Amino acid sequence: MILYSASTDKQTPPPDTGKFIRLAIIAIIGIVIFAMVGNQAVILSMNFTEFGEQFSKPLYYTIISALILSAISLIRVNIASRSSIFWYGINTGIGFIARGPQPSVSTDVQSFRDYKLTSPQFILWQITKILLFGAFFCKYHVWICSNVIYQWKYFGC
Amino acid sequence: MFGFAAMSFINGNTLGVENLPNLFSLPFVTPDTNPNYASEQVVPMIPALVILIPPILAAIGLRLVLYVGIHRIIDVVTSYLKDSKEGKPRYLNYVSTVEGIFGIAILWVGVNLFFTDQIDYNTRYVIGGTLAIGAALIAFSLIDRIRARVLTHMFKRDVIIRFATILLIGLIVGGTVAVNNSIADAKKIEFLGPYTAQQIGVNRHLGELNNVQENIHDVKLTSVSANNIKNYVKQNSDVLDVIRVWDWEAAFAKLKPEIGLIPYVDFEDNDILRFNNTLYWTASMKPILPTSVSLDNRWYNEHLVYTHVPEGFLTLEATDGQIVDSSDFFKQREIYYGEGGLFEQTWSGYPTGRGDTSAELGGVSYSGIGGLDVPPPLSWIFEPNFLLSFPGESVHIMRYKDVNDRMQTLYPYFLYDLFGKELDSLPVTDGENSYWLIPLIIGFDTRDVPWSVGNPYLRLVGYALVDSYNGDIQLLKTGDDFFTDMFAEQYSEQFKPMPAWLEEQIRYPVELFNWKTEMYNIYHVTNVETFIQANEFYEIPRGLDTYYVQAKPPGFEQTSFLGLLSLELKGSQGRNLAGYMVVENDLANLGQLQFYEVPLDSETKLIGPTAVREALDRDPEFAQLKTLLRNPRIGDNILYRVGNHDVYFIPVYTAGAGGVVAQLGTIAAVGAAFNGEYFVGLGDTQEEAFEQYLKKVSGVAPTTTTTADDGYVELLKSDRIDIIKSVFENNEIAIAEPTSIQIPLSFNEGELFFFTEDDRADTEEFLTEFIDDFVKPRSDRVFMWEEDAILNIGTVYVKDGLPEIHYVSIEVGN
Repeated sequence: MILYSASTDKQTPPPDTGKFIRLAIIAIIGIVIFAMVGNQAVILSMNFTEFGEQFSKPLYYTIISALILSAISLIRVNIASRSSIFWYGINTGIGFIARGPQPSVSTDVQSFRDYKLTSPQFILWQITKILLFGAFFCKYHVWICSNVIYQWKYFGC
Repeated sequence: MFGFAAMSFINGNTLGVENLPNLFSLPFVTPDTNPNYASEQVVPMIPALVILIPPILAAIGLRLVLYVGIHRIIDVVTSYLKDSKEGKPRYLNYVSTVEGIFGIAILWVGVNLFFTDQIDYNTRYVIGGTLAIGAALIAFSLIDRIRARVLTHMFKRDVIIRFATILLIGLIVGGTVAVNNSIADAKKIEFLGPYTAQQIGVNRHLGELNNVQENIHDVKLTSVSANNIKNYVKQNSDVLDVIRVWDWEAAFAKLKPEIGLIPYVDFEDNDILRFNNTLYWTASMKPILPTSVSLDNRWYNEHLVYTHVPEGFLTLEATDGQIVDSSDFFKQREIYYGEGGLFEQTWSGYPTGRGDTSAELGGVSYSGIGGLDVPPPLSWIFEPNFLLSFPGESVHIMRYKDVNDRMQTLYPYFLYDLFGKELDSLPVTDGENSYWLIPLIIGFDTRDVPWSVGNPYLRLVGYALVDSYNGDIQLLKTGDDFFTDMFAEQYSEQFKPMPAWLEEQIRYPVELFNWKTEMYNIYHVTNVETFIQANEFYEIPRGLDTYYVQAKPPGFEQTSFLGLLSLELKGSQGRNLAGYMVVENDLANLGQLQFYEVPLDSETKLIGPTAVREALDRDPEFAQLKTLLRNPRIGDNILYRVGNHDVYFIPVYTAGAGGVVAQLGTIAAVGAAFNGEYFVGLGDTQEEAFEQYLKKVSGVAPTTTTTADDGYVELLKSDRIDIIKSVFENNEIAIAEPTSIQIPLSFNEGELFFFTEDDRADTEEFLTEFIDDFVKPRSDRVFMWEEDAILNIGTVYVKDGLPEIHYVSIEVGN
């Protein structure tokens, strides 16, 4: 006597509550990000409207500063090697997470020298680096100067 | 800032970049002891070194760390793992890479050593040694890279060679440095002197100390003739009338009640300002949320109600302590853009369609041009509350209402916090509108400037005028340095000419004045030997701040609005003044510093603030008064030059600080010139105090009595002579006044001084005795003649055939 057979079982699967919760969380996160980004965008727009060139000029110089300094620091032109520490690290990390228990690390770690981005990826990554890390260079000079002025005590002799 | 400079550079402003190659020769050249070497070599490259080079060096350094350091290390590690998996690790290859990384890193350190804030006799060896080690490592790296094609391991001999090479270079450099230091300990001037001279030259440029006018202040304690004291006081009334008697604590105690029963306003800042050649304490207010506002109502109140301060300024005259209606000066007293409180915490706004109904404090409706109208749906995104409350209506939003935040947002190039304190903004007015005068100070780190020893580069570019009602900003230029020129070129349309009404109200920033004085404390010494001996540096007395006063130091023809800071000799136990620094605030001479130096060998000293307080405490008259005043508070002790006298004027208040009542108990005038004795005058006014002080100096009033002489009557010289004459006339004796007397024998029978009414009785008795003993009944005539301030009266008679004159001398003064 067959008590249960998956092929003959006509029960509908229970609703996937987890899926709905995940969707809701993603939706909430999306709304929060939209609200934050939207709020900052509105503030930026208000600044441009209210102050005009007074606001845009320092921003312009900040962007110039970020472009020049991040280009010096971060942009690579050696398209022959097309290496990237960042993506190599991501790739290796994903490899570690995805693998099962392995006897040794060396079986999974690709040689850095052999890891190469494609040419379009490489070029795109140079541009992305400037956009992602350029902001750091804007405040560098201000921070260094303010810190020095704050801590200045005469120690001339 | 780098972007700003880069654009200026691209537009043709070289910023001294063409002088940068000279930087690489500086450590290898021994300069002479003339600081002009630094002025010629280093000063022209300062703009590039402070604004362009540091970010570029940092960017290059980061690039080396990422793409030479981290890249190569990861390459080595992964290559080792791969080679090990294949069973063929190529150690020599890895070592070669590591050697290369270290070599480049050390070479980079060596290059950065050229960009240093201190160069001395050892710098060249340190740089040379560092570069040599870096070059050696790179050479070894190349050699090992070639050998790695064949070999996989390094020989023991090679390891020893490499370590020995580095050790040898290190020992040579270290030994040379140690030997030089040892020689320099004995031959300090020869070795360190040239570099010290350059340090002095560079720092004098940084602090603009060559523009400081130096005056020798010859301190003398001169007495004024007792008869001339009142005149003297009158002659110096221009200085005495404007003595700053009320300090901020006393002024605050008087102004506090003026706020009234208002819980939504608080004091934010105070400043000493000048209007119509008179100094006033001005207190500015900030809006605060009353503590009784509940959490539910907080949003409504802070955004829509407490949007401004209705009466933003209070003023009190600094000399007589009278509260003055601020509307006499500030016609516009509603502050919508100010300092602190709700201004810096939040934004404010109102619906554009509110009509006559306003939620703002006092029912006022803002009618200025500050802020902007934000239509929906942008207004909903800005503030979600508007989605429900004003869904279809534009809202007028006012942001960046704190003037410092406003300036930081729009002009982030400048410093708004200096040495840990927020920059002071002054309220000023053109008679109609009120503004905040904010100094624009540019500051750069000079770590890459040779011989700067870390002192920053600070300059006053100009000022910003921020309208307290509308928030718009005008820029005023006063500076003439490289950054000011750059900035004025880029922001030419924002700059306006200096308005005439501001000329009297403008004030040199106290923070910059203090910094320049601190620089002067050290770098006023231009002699290298004296600098190294470090025995003529100055320091600001502990607890002393800059006083802004109306004063007339030596060399000034009329009273002027000045900042004043006294200086002592650093480390001196005597705590006497080495001099005092003043800064002018009149627009024509804005920022002009003058130092009045007391010569180190001066016999008469100028006592400092500590000694002045002690002198006052020890004065018996003041000690008695102190007990009557119970717990008095001693106010500021400010040094003034009144005529030929350096005097501290010290107000004494009847109540301690922190109260709501302030009353002037007395004013003390304490002489600053000291030759062994202190002179303290007390009075209800500064004129009285100064008069009492002069009397003590001239000896008219004793220095140790505690009672004031109420019956004191001053006599003119002519009055005294008339009184003397009357004594003889009353005795029917004629007085002849010959042009000269030549009697072979003369006898002085007595001397007396006659200045005041108190001396009259003694004088009359003295003359009566003389008349009885020598004049009557022999003669009915006496002779009177004057020598200097002494009146001589005598009688002539012949004895044994020889004429002889018997006379008395009475000192009558001038």
